[in-house]
Amino acid sequence: MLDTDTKTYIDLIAEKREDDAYRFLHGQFHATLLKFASAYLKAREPAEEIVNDVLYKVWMMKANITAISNLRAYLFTAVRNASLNLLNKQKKEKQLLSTLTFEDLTTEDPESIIISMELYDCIRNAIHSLPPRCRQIYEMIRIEGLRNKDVSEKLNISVNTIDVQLAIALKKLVLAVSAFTRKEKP
Amino acid sequence: MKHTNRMWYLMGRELSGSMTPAEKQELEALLALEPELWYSYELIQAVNNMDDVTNEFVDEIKSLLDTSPEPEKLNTLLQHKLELVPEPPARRVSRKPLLRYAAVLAGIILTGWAGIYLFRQMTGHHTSATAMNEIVAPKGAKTQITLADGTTIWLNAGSRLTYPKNFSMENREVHLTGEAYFKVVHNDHHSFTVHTPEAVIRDLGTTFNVKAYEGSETTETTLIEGAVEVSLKKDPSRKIMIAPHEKVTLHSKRARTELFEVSKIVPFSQTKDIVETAWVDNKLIFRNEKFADLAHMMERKYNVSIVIADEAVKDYELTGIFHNESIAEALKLLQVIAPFKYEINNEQITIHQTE
Repeated sequence: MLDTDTKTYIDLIAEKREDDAYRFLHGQFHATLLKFASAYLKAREPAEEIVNDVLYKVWMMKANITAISNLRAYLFTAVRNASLNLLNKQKKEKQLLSTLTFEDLTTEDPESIIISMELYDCIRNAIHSLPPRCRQIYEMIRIEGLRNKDVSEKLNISVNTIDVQLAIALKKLVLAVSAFTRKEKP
Repeated sequence: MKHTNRMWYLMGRELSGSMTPAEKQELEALLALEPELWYSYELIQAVNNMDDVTNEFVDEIKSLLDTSPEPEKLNTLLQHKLELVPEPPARRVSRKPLLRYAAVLAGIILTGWAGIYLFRQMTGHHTSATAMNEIVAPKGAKTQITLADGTTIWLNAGSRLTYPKNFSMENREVHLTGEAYFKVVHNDHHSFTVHTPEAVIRDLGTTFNVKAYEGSETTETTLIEGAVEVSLKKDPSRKIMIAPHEKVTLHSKRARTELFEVSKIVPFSQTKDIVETAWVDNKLIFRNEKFADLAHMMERKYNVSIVIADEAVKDYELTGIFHNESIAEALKLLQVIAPFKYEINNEQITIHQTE
C-alpha cells in the first residue's frame, strides 16, 4: 500500500511529466527536509546544498524511483546519511575523532535501510512488547486510522488517557528504532 | 529530559489526527533539537504504511536499484545542476549583440540634439566597448544567468538585461529594464553597477533586487545583504546608501524634494518569504495590493493580458501568495477573497464586477 505522496510522484513520473514531478518533489519536501538537515548541521548553507542534491538525485532516477515504497522515508534517510557524512568529514578535518563516529555511512543507497526486514521486525517487536492496552490504542490509531475521539468512544475512556497512552507507545517505538539505526551503522 | 516527554505526547496527538497548528509548530521545534529521534519517528510512520512486505518484494527492489546511475555519473550530472533553476522553467533566452554606434548613428540622423544626447548617455562610462549582449526573459518565464565574474542574476518575466560583450571583473556594468535579483561576487577594487532608466545602483558586494519596469513610476531597490548605493541617473550627486533589509523607492514622476523613500523589509514570520524577492522562488506575494497592480504582475508571470472592465474592481486591495497555480487556479483563489467574474479567451482575460 503506497502513501499518497509516493503515489502522486510515481504517477507523475509514469506520465513523463518530469517538470511537474520536480515541482511536486520540491514543493512537498524541500522546506521540511531543509529543517531536518539544518537540525543536524546547525547551518543553513550546507543543509540547503544537501537537500538540493538529494532532491535532484531522486529526480534524476526517473523511472527507477518506482522501486521506492515510501518517498518521504527515502528522502529523510538520504538527507540524514548525507548530513552525518558531512558532520563526520568536518569532524575528521578538525582532527577531533570522538568515540561517536559514523564511519560506515558512506552508503549512498538509503533504500537498503528503509525496507530492511530487520527494521520492520524491530518496529513490529517494539509494538508487540507494548503493554496490551497501550498496544491496542496504538494499533486502533495507526492501523484502523481512527482519531483519538473515536477511540475514546469505542473503549469508553477519556481522550486524555488516550493521548498519554499514545505518548508512551511513541516513546518506546521511537527509542527502539533510534537504537536500531545507530546499532546498524557502528 | 523534560522536552522529550512533551515530544512523545505531541507525536501521539499528530498520529491521532488531533493536533492544533500551534502544537504542530511546537513539535517541529522539538524535533529540530533531536534530529535522530525525528528520523526514527519518520521511519515508524513509513513502515506502518507497508504492513506486509515480502522478501521477494525486497529482492525485486534491490535489483531495480542496481540499474540506477553509478555515483560517478551522478557526480558529472550534478556538476551541471547549477544551470538548472530550482523549478525547470521554459527557458527562452535570446542573446543578440547590439551595435552601439549603429544606434547612435540612427539617433543622429533622426534629430541632431537627440543623437548627441544618446551618444553621451551610451558612451559616458567606457568608450572602448562597442557591442552589447542582451538577455531577455519573455513574459511567463524567468531566467537565470551567471556572468564572467561569477555574479548570478535571476531575471524576472518580462525583463531585459544588457551588458558589454567584454564584461569582466574590471568592467562590471549592466543595464536593466524590468526586475532582477543580483548575487554579486564582491571585489574590493571593482564595484558592480546596475543602470536603470532612472537610477544607478552601485553595489559594494552584495545580494539585492532591482525593480524598474517600463511604464512604472518607481524604481525599487531591495537589499538582502551587503551594501548598495542608489543615485539619480540625471543627478549623480543625489544618492543614498541603504542597509540590509531596507528598500529604497525612487519616485521619478513625483514633484517632491523627497525623492527617495526608504522602508524596512519585514519577512513573513512563518515562511521567511520576502515580498520583493519571492519571485525568485516562483512565488508571487502581494500585500494589500490594488487589483489593477496585481493584474500587471500576473500578466508578466503568466504571459497573459488582463483587462479589468469595472473601475471598482481595480481598487480592490488584495493579499495572498501564488506559487505553482495555473492562471485559472490563481483567479479562482482570488474569487475566494474578492467578488468578481472572469472570462478567459486565449491569453486574454476580462474581469467584471459581480452584479
